[in-house]
Amino acid sequence: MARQPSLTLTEKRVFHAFWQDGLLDVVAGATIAGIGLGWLCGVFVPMVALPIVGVFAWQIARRRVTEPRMGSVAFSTQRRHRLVHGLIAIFSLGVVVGGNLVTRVWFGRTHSALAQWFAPAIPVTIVAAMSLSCAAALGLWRFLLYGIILFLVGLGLAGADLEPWWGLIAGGAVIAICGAVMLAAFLRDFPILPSETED
Amino acid sequence: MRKRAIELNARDIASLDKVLHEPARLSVVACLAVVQHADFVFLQSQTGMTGGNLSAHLRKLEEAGYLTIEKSFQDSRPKTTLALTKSGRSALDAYLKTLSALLAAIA
Repeated sequence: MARQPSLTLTEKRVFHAFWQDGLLDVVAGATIAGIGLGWLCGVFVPMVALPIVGVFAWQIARRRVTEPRMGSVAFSTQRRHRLVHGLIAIFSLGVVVGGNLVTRVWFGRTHSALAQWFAPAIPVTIVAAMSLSCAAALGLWRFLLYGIILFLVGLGLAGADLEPWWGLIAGGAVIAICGAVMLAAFLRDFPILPSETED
Repeated sequence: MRKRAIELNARDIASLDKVLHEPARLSVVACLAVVQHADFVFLQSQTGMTGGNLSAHLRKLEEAGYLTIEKSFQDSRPKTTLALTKSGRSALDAYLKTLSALLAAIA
């Protein structure tokens, strides 16, 4: 019996094309680095609102930069549901991993030398875990690489006994730079298309 | 009696949808089949067609009743939103079924 060709690959290709502008990476990296900088300057609490500002900044930038070059698309309900479930999973994982690590290490539930050694790496490890879930939810494997980089940054931080905010600043900067490179390539490869004509 | 190497039925070949049996139009329909809707610029960026060429193909698909075209303005720029109709979706399904049956016959 003949097997009917599936459009799954086409859907994946279209979905990946949507994220190839690098704007998400730039905004996410800048947000993480911003939280680190805020912590360094002693204004950590207002910086917690930075992700919300980041979401709005991403939407505006997408409308101004990406849409005139690539247009806009609404994905299928099935894909949007998967995306929402993925984002809920990211948030839940962040809360569970973060809450667990913070109560165990920072609030003295454990006194093991390893936990104390790893303490400065906790914030960047939480972000690494969120990056890994983002890779799984969106199918964007560069976020897997970011997760690994962030985890390695955390290990380096713990090894050098530096303050936790340096990990967020360094990790965020790496992600933002990668995003900026992608954005430059996107701007080069996708010029603004002339307005819709019937020529 | 020797069995024919290729058993292709001329009627099956003729039954292929002529509107869809064109690479440019098929790529437009395949792209629209996997999303809810997309705008003109998105289709242009994904298919690599010029504006005029894409417009011509969209008109043929609209005449066949395979897609809906909605025109509006966004930030004082014209915006054309396109979506596949139910009949467009079933035409694509039928086309893929026929094509894969034909390919299976010669494989």
